Amino acid sequence: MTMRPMVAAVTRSWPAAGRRTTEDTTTPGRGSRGALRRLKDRAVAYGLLFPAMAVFLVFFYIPAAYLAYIAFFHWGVLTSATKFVGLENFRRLIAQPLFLHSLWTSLYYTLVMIPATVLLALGIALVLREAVTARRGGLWRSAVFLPHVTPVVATSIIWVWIFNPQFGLANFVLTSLHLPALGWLGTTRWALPAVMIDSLWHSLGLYVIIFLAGLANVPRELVEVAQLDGARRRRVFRRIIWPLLSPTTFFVVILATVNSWQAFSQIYTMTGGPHGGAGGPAFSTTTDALLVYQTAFIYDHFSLAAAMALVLFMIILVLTLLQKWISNRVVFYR
Amino acid sequence: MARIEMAGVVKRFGNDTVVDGVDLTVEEGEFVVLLGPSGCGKTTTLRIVAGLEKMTSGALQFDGELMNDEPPDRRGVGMVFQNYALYPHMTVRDNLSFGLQSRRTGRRRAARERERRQVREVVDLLELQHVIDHRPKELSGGQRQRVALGRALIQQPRVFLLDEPLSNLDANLRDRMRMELARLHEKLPVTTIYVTHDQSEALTLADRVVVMHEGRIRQVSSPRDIYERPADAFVAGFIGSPGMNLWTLPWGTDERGEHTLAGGAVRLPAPPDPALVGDGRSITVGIRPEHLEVVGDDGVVVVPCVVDLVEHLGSHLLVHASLTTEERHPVIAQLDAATSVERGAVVHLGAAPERVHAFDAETGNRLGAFVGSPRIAVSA
Repeated sequence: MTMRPMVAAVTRSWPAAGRRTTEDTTTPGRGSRGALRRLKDRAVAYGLLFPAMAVFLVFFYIPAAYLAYIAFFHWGVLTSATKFVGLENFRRLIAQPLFLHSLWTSLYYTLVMIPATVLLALGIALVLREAVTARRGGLWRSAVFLPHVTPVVATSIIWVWIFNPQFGLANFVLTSLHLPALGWLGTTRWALPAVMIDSLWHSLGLYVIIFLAGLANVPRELVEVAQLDGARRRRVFRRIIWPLLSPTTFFVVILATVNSWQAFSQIYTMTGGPHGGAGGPAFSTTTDALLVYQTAFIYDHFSLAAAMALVLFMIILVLTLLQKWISNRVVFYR
Repeated sequence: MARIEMAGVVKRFGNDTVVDGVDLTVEEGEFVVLLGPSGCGKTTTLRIVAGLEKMTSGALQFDGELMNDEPPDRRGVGMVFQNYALYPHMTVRDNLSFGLQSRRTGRRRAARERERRQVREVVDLLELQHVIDHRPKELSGGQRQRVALGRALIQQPRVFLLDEPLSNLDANLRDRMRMELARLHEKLPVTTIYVTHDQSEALTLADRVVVMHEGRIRQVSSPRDIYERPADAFVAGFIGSPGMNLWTLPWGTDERGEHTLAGGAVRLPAPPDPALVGDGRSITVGIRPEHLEVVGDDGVVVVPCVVDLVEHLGSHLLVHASLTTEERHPVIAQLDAATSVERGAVVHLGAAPERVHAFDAETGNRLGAFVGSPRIAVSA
């Protein structure tokens, strides 16, 4: 179909040859042969996609759909008494103060993590780019990236030691600076910040690399022109680098949002883990993701947990769409 | 406007010497073109003047004021980059006024009014009225080029620096923009340094051309002198398209007492500097392709050669031939389109003696032309 305007143009400019072209493309034999080839192409494409799609389907899409399904049922692993209950699970969720509390905890966690991630990662990226010579650059980049490749559970256990109120490194640093020692994971006020510090340490490397890539894409000449234009460093950053970096920043914000709402392993490990009682003290670190886990696998309320997960999914979806909507106004794509 | 003085400017990157002792004075209001093949250090020299690159040693002065450690924004230079380097996220208006706002002083309202007026002036000068609210992406190559010029000019720079500003344009537009640049410089005679590897730009635009090679200045002269009196064999070969024919051959005298190269491959009049050219010593002789013509074998300068290939270029013929020497030195001649030459034929080419240049075979330095000699001949 897309060929028609071109054919028409040829016909206009070159009548005799053009007429023949038009006839050729509309003869039925040729058309169906083309359709057959397109069908074959498509079959090959789907054939190649199938293995990956199958894995996704079995381990991701089907469980996700099934989760959405059981959220409207009374459902248990060991019972066969599956019963449709409509919105009952959601009604119970809203009535449960712990669920609202967990939403609030997740929101707090996310709202701190996003700006902290962007500021620290961008700051480190800027320092690495400016201060490090090309020869040692690789070494520094590796050093910053290294925490990200360590297993979360293992390093979170190390962070538990660091935050030990009596013997931990964290309090040693604080007291060396003549600051009061903190109870860290043992207190409702500092437990979540302690988890945030661990999470930042673990995830920053990735975001630094992303920002470094983004900075490398800002043409050097633009910075030089701005310097010649009399702009000081801060103005160059604010008016040139920051706007041109906005797609990267946007990507980091989305990634950090999703990762924060889904944060689980580090919270689980640092606040009680396999010994039970994760999410404490006094539910101060019980985020939505953690509550979903506990509701399903500790308290066996699978359909209630499914409803929670669905709500969590909707929240992340809405946030992402909101960010996308905002980005259309502030992100500059070259 | 400023007078620019560079003295012994050296720039090294690690062990690489990119600019190797450049001495150059650009007079107030002068248009100087730095010309040379890629990698010759011309762009680095320009960036040193702009302050974007720190020199390893040497001195740079504007109007007698030392600029070595002055940051780029305090030198009063306007620069146009090869790829324009327009701020892609800003409109033309913002691109033009960004620098003015960066330097804004005094009362805000008065400053704004002044900026608006300056933008209007530049927009009128460069005819950018219709695209003032467009972003660079929406502009044509020529318009982007003009915005880049405007952004550099709006600051009323003392020194105007252009780094291959036309090389991203297609051929037609390039010719037009070249004329516009020449006209612009007439209207606003700011001291200008212009970097290019395109000799037609250099020869048409420049008051003086600076030919650079391997980080050194090889010649500083008027465009006409660069063409007619190249300072050395490199400049001779680089300028012109195709470049000058250069043959390094032993000098001698034949049985009739006439001067020849390689025992008769080229017949010439007496050498320009007899002290430097003795029997058996080599000399580099150069003749531009466009100065060669078919002559009889009794001409003053006679270059006999064998035709290898004839290119018909409409207005003229480009004949590729070789000398009758053992090494078959290549000869290129640009001949009248009406000339009949055939592949494989032996032709005698000749030139006016003053069009035949002599260079030292070792240093490549110019020895002179064969002016006043009674007879020059080249034969193969």
